[in-house]
Amino acid sequence: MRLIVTKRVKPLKFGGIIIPFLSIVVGIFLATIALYGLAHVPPLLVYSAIGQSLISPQMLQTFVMLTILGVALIIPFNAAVWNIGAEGQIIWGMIMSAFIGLTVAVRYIIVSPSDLPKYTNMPGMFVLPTPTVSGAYAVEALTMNPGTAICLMLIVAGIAGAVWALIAGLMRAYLDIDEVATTLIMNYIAYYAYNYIVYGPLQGITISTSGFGLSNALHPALRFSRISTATTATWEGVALMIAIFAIAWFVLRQTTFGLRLRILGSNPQVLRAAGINVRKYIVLALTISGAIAGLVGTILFAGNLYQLIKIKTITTPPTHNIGYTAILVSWLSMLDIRGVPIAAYIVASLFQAGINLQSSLGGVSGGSAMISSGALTYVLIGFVLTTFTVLRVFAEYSIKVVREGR
Amino acid sequence: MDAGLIAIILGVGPAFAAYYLTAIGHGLFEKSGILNLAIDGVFTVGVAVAYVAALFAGTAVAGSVAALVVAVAFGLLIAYLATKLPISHGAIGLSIMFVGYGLAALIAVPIRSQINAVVSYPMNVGVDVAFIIFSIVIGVLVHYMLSRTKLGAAIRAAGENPHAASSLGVNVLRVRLIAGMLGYALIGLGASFYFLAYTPAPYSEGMGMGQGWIAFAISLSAGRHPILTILSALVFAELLYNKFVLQGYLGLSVHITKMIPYLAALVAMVIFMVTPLKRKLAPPRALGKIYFKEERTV
Repeated sequence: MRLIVTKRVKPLKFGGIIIPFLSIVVGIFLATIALYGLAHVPPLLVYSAIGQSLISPQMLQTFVMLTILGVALIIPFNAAVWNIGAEGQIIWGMIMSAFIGLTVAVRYIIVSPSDLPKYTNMPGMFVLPTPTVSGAYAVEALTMNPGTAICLMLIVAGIAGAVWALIAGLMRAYLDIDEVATTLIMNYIAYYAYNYIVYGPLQGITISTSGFGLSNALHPALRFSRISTATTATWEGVALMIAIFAIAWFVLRQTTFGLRLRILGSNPQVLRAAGINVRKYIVLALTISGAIAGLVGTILFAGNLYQLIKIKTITTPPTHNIGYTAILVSWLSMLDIRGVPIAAYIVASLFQAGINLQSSLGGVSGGSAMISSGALTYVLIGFVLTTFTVLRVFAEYSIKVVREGR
Repeated sequence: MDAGLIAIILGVGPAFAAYYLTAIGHGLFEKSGILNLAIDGVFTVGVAVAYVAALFAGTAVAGSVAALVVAVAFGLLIAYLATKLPISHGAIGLSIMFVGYGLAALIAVPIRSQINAVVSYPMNVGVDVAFIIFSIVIGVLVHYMLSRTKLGAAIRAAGENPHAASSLGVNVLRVRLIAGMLGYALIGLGASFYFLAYTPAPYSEGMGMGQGWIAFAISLSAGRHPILTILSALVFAELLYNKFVLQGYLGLSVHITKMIPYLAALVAMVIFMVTPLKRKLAPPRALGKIYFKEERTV
């Protein structure tokens, strides 16, 4: 038996829709087998976790972040520049948002417990819940307009993500070092830098945070406003998602810059022949991508977490590995920006399914309840990605199986 | 020199063996022209399998054998898919990396939460020396195989120009499957040594994650040359093995010492690319390129 692979004259009709959906179905099926075979997780539990997550309002925040990250990744992916470092770029966005939100935009007034009642109801003041080491209380007072502070957080986070990606971009463009390896390795550097910072420069000043790998909590006036109590999604996050999506769509589809990026991905020789500086485009693709990922850091910090929390083990960063998950979003969209929100919806459901599944594992025997939601998400996403990578071949090639001895 | 100091110097043996074997396995596989981005995921699986198998069999050797077998299965799968189908090497590698991260937790975490024990290789200077000698012997054998044998020539040909190799009678698929098998056997062995000899602690989820990338950088910074890799692996192993020394004497934070190997990995890759090493030890020309023969059976 042998395989005959032939390039199609025209791409498979509706291949852009059929293949991603088929991959999701087959991938989830394979993941279910692995989950059952290795950890005795009943398949019904997996399917019900996925089913619930499809309509769960909790996945909305994940959807918002994945759409933004999908757009962030699709820009370099279109140029065949593989940014696997969104994790690190988000982390730096979080760190710099926290730097602005916890040091620049507020000052700390130390008050004795007897003076505390005066401050608790004073407008614009936020009393940190536990006392400081000396027994006094710390009150956060804004030093600037909250709107200005939030803008500043976003700008600085964007710059931080861009700079982090720029390093890998320069290494790729001028030294020809594979950006997949560098961006991935830089994620680990960012994780440890984050831990250094939550135990060092940005550690909290109260007894429950200082030295425990926790920062102070963000002033409520600087927190993004939630859409409803049922979801962690915020108005600011949704607005950013729409704006970033629209701008990226316009730039990729309607400008010379976008066209050149896409040509860089399909045929860089043409660009070189036209006298265009290819290196500049490689660097720009990664930098823009990093800047957008940095903004997600602010959305995560000011919209969800309000505090930097140490990374206990490398599998459980505060990002919940969403930077890796976003790779699946941009691939499932077949690198077409219009497909990003659809792919983000599906992947956000899988992501939420990992969390739902983890919380329903309590009854499963054999210690499987100890498996983290991150690992469960890896299983689901890994199998869908692998299936998709293989099935994607069918969009442009036809494969026939021929019996031996013809 | 007193015995204590010798013990400290040779104590790097298990760490060296783990990183060195993984790095030369990676280099061997990439010599055949397949971009190997699945390394970290399979390394993580290798650690999980080594832990479980050693625990159940009661001997560390069983852990190494099991990790080797599982890693070989992954290697064959990657080599087959990347050669047989016009598929992006980067995409299949990263996808399998994610599968690996997930499977490692499924394999080891349930066991860990029921049994609180670790079976590992004995720890003494003699064993440390044995690890160093064993891994260097393997390295020399790999070097000999790649540079002096027919199979080595075929692997290099498949990596430089698979189309030309094929028309000269090399079965590219078979050669790449062999490279995938041998390369991943070494990666599985390295992963098992990482856990069973270098850091035998009760398993925790994510053990081994990121170490595969360090091995990736070790291999890359030595131009995938098995003998030169001895040097780069030794530097990295010393950095990792002596992290507490760095912490103590230089007063560095624990977070910074954990970061150093990754920084060193970046620096090593830069050094390799800016020095004449790059030209002398150029990567295989067909590395990561899709191998597709138009309108023909493959």
